[in-house]
Amino acid sequence: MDIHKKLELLSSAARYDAACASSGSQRMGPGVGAAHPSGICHSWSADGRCISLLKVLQSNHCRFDCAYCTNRASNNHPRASFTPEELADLTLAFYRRNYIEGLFLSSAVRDCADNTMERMLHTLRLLRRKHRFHGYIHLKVIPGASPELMQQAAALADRMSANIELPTRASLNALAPDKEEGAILRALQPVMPDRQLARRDGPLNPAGMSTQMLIGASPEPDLTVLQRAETLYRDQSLKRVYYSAYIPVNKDARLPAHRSSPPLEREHRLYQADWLLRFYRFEVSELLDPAMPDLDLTLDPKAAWALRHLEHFPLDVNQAAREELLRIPGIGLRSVQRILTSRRQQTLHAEDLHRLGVVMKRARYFLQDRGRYLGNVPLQEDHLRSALSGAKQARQLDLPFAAPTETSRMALTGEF
Amino acid sequence: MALFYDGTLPGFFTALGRHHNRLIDGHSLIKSSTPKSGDLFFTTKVVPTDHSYSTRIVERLSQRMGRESLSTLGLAFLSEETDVEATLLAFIALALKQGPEALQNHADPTVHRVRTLARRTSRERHRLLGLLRFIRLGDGLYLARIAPKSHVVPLLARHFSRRLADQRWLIIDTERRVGVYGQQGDWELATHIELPDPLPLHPEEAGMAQLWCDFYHSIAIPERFNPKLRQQFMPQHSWRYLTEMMGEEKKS
Repeated sequence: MDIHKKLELLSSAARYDAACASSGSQRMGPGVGAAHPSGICHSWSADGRCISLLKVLQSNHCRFDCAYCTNRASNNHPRASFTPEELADLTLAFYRRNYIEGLFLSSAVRDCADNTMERMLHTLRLLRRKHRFHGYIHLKVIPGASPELMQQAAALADRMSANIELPTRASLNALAPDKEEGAILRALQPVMPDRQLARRDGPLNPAGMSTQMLIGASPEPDLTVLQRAETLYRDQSLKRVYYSAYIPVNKDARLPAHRSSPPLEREHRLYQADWLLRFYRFEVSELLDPAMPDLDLTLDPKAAWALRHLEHFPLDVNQAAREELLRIPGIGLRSVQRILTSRRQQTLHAEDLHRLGVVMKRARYFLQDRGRYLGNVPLQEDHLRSALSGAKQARQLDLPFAAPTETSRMALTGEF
Repeated sequence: MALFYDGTLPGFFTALGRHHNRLIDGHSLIKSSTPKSGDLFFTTKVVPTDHSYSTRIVERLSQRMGRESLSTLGLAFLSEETDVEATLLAFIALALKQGPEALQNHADPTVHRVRTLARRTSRERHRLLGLLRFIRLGDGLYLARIAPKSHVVPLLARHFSRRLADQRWLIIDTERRVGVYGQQGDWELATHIELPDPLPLHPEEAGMAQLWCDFYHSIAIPERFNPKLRQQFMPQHSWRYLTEMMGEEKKS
């Protein structure tokens, strides 16, 4: 099979993995390449997602038969594999032309975890040692691989990941009986340096680990999904959890019936909630509870929280503490920072706030200036709800696409 | 009175140093390349650039305003917005009075304006770090063409010299006709560059560009197609030298 056909097959097979970050590493050295700490987006594909890495499978020959996966054994698709040499050469050729920051390498499991890992590590060794490549490498580790191989992987890759696939063990057992939750969680354990294996390639796994969950393939509500994420961040020290809207590629009785479109709005709200957990000091219990287990689709989770807690508002940006400022809809991390440094030098009034990046169209309902409330409707839930979500609904009616889209949707740039 | 300078940063600082009082009083500082509109000014004066003098001025400013203010100033200058000189002079007056803290007051309109211009340059630079595409020429040189709104070529040099330490490479701003050439980790700026037409490509180049296009098209999930979202991050004006979009541009 020629390289063009292989690339087409093995990249379309890999595209359902959402991870695209190229940040968190400062690798450099003699040879070719240098990792950029904040990561760099090189392009955006037709689905609006950032392209930063050459994202491929080493091979799509799989002996597993996971219900949701395009590569499953029972699918009669063409199968192919890259040789480590051709993949290393391709990565370098793309890198030199500034198409990519590096390689994202995953694989289907043809025989066993160790052999599969070995083949991927061969590609990585060619890149790092033969070609002296210092660009970014994200390696998907195969759960069940031996600790020695995990050590070697950590010495060669910047980021490592293993997908927990589904929010609960029960769903994993139902949809992917070949996979075992314990093995996946063990693969996500931080790799400790082995004194024998001297640090010849630099720090181990400098960009940390990540994982991914399918959204909408199984019945769990957002509460379960986010509790799982919260646990993974806290107990496994993961850098990122990715949420991937389930795209039906197979017909299977275990999977939900076909929808008209994938749950993209729900995925978007989960990412917003994830950001609140990681940067805005929210806890899952503040966003959701068993009586209200799913995120509001019409309002972002921060605004939804604010509407449930109007007793905290309106605030004066000159007086409010950092924690309080972080809770105001329309005021993000950077604006909070700017408010804190600017208010040392002058009193901030309503007309000044847009210069600090505050989205006044939203924030005004939660602010006061010189004792005067800045909203143009009463500070009550029903009024604010329509003020905050009303404008968005009007816009959605204008869009020509069948799937609901929101032009402010984040691309997964991996920044932060 | 209007003061004319050569449009470069050293020229700006020379004029600032030699005519400080006039400029702070509000006299105009204009690029010599600006088309002259009749006799708008009764008296004009051309300020010749003095590089060593300019360096001393920069050092003194750095001590009074702080390094961050100075680099913000430099970035704002490179945005090449019309009448950027007036914005910069207003900011310098403020920063000389208030010191490095001045830059931290985002609410001040002058600070806001300078920061906005600096951010524009900085964002365009970062975007180009990603969108710039090299083509391999027959003699092994890797060539990239860009057409940025801001003058970012000098800001790209260090990044690419570190990244492509074992390649010979050349980045050209096709509108300004300036560029940066690098090899073995060194780089130098170049002006008045002309490119041969058609470009003499390396024999493997067409195949490699095609592979990238193949990847670019395979990696999108059809059920998630969202050209409007893509447009937000990668507007059509940035597609000019983008290998994967060159076919698309002809279609649209």
